[in-house]
Amino acid sequence: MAANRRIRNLFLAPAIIYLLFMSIYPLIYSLYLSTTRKNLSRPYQKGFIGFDNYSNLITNDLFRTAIENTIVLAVASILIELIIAFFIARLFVAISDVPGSSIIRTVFILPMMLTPVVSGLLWSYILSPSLGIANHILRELGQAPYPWLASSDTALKSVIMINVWQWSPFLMLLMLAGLMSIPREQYEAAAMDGANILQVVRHIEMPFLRNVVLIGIIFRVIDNFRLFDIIYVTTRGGPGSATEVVTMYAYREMFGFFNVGYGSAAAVLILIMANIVTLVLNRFIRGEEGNVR
Amino acid sequence: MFGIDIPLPDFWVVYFFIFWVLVGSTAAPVVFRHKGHHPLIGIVVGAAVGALSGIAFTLLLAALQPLADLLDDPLASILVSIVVSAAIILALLAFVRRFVPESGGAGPRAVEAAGGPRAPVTYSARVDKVDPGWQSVQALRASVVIMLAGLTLIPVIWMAMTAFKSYPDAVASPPKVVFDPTLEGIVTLMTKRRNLDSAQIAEYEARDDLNWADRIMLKSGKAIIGQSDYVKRLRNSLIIAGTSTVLSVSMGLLAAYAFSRFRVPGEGDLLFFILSTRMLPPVVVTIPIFLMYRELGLYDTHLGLIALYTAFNLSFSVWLLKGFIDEIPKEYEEAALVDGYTRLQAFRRIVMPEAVTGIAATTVFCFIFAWNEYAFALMLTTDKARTAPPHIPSMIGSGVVEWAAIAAGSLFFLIPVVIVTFALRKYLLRGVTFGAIRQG
Repeated sequence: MAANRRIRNLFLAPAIIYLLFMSIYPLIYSLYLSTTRKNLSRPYQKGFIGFDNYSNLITNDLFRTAIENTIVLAVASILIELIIAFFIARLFVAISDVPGSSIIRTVFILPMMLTPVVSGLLWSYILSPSLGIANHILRELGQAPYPWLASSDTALKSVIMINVWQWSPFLMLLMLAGLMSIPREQYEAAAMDGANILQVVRHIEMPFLRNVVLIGIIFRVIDNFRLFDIIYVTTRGGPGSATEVVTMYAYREMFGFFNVGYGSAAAVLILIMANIVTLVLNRFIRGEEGNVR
Repeated sequence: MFGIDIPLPDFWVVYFFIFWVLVGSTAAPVVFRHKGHHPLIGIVVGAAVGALSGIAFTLLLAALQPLADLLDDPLASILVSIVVSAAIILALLAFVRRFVPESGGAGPRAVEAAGGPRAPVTYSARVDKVDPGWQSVQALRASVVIMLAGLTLIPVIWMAMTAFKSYPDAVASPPKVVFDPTLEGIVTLMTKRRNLDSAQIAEYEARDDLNWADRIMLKSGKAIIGQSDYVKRLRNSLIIAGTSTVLSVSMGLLAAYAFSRFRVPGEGDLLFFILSTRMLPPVVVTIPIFLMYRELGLYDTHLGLIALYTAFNLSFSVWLLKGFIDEIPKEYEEAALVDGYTRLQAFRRIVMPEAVTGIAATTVFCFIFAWNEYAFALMLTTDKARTAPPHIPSMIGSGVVEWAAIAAGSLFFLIPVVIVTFALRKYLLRGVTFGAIRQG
């Protein structure tokens, strides 16, 4: 037993120590920095200022816009993704016995695996106002060209569109797993009882999908709060502050103005926001499991 | 297209044309097989029917020009045309179905479907699955899915096309769908060049020691003077992603084994802590890491990025590998232990070979995550250790935007990702949810 314990510790030690060092240290240091006035371009300006950074942040208009945009981006993207993912997942379940369907499914999933930077670039080329193919198609359709990423009214919508394109496959994959786990007998029994499609969705598919979807939403909420690559490549938060999100804001404070104290405070707030959402959703999942089992 | 003035861009017509041919050639063989013909005839007839309805649709659109105008909104008219064209092909298919003659003797397929004496029914014998109507609907669904998949891939295909365009074609307005493919973008990506004046061009053309890349660049009046940074960045990407993957998978394997086989105090919390490190937004972590790296001289070094990537992949590999090891029955090792193996021997000889698929999948996932990583690389490197992801967009900044070169750079970068996605398709769901969800 003692030998076992020694082996266990030996096996665990590298990973745990490494992760503690690489995550706890930066986290604590971030928390510390967020209460100071530290600025890299002014090395002698130091000093503890308590929660001033946080109160400055909360009263800052740009940061508020950033929070608003982040929330709009997350909520809108996730809702649209859920709807698209559900329909496509159902279609795939229906054809799951057609040969080759797993290959087509993988083609669908491809955007999710693409390098986010590349998909950002891809879309900024496609949506570019003069030489992009998106506006070319619109012109051919007789529509006025759409400003896409170039106007403050449409930039956030365009970013949401890119986000949805890239991440719908993720929720689709999750829902597919959920739908495939439904026993066929349930569908057959429902057909016998003369249930219509809405009733099947409501009473058979929804309960099976619930937990899978909640897990998926947690992942997507965290991802959206961390979203940086696509925005940095396509708009850098512009035009104006139309696509300013919290990560962009923190990035600019840190690497643009070297305001590391203030930037850290913004970063810590992102972390707190993501954690709150995760905790709430997690409670949801646990609560439901408690009721069912 | 077809010399007819149509209210739709050619693109859509081509797209739907492919769709109808696809529907026809997948739905018709079902009917033909059912009636005892060879399915190949069905494919040919179906494709013809699809093409026919495509032509019918185009003619109808030309005839209904006033209708399209009445609708005023071109998008609505697209919807109408979809409905109309679907009606055309369904009607034609129904027509074909009625008039396909029964073949003389029952074909082998029919016997199989009926569960006759010659061929036992090997797959599902459910009645609805051999019904041609149901099968045609499946074919229709499959065609819809294929066309939707094509639609989602259009951006990627467009990029792949752009990679082979010349500079004028890449920035042409309106964009060119049909173009002369050239390797100019790829050569631009890989090389540094300088502009030549006309006298120098003539002098260069007279030389005969030029290779194919030189000749391509000469066409646009440029001479190659060396290798570009991209090659270096790609090499950095390989080194950094590769090393960090090996490190994180080996550490992760040990920890996953310990979590799976021994009682660890506070296991749930520990595992959650490990997962949460992966969920930290990069911006939160970078500033302290940045300051620390500057002190330690790790800023803009391979080692620095490797250390960071190892950390974020480690949490992932622990979770994924724990799931894979959990699936190996404990009894295997217990038997080995009884036979006198030590724990380490049992781990090496029993668990590792059993978990090899899982280890391979984890390795590839870790590699791709490190390969795709952008934010850390952008903030923690400038030149020496810079990887390809932050480099590709930076090509936009310098003067003329060489979209062809950028597309070529993206394309090269994506090829391994695409291969891996297909190779790992059984494990994708598991990989992207940290092993939380297994089936699918």
